[in-house]
Amino acid sequence: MAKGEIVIDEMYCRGCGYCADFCPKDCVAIQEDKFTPQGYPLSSFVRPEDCTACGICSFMCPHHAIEVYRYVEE
Amino acid sequence: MKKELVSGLPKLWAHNPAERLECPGCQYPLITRIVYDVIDELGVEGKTILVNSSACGYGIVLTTSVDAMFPNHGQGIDVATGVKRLLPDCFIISFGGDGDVAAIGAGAFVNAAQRAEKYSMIMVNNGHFAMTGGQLAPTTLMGQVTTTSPEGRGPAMGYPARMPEMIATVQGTAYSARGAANNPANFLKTKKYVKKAFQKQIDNVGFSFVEFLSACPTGWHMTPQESIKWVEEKMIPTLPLGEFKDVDTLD
Repeated sequence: MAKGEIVIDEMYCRGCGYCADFCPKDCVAIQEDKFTPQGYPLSSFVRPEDCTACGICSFMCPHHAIEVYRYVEE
Repeated sequence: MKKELVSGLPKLWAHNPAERLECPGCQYPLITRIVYDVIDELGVEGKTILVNSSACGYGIVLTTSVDAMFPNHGQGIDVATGVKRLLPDCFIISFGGDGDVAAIGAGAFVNAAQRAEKYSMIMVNNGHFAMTGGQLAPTTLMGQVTTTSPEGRGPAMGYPARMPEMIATVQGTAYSARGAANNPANFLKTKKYVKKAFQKQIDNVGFSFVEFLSACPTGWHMTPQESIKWVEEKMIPTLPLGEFKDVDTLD
């Protein structure tokens, strides 16, 4: 059950892949067929169901391209 | 279901994609994030002045809403001294690369610590002069290939400088540490070091210094993943992470 979700900003992503390297649940990956408007490989949120909203992909992203949201009960 | 933001753009980030100047995989903006977050946590945003000498990190001046200045290469340390003496209530952070601190600004750096100037200095070490095209720097590792050492740094070119260890021996230094961001744990440790260093300035103890080991995939001619591995396998054994000095009074 997903505890949160991430939003990747295409304008900021430069395809370095640190988000995919450091995600403990392998929820983020660089996909070969997707590119940013600037032509860099684009990372994608491939396994949303395992996301724990830990925030690692966001703070390890050198280009500040990822926002992490946690679901909270109302 | 309601959503709550865990982590995103740093709060002090001036949102302008046109000013994104770093290369893919550069870790310079990670120390930028740490500095912005710690400024925010300590609540000193209104009185902060960033002094950034010319280096790859000029982005920190362009991408923030706090006051900042941009002196000549190697002069950031002396300019920060002047600003801090003129405005002792302000919170001053001097931000430099390895060229700024270990090469052209080395004299200014040692003497600022020796005079116990009450500001914080951050040095970003990527092992070579990245902005000018990747020449050999004082912090270049033994065997590291740069444009001016194509066969690797040998003993004829000297040995790597260890700035936090060196500055820890100066009495005017209140805090000295070295951090990296090769994994999330080290990132969080570095954040703790930066927070402690800034706290020393708020407590008016003395000079505080943090070195940050940054991966530079473009300058090292590696993929981002290889550069992180290089930091882990080559840089950290030569330049060990940790705190080298942490005192509450200088006497």
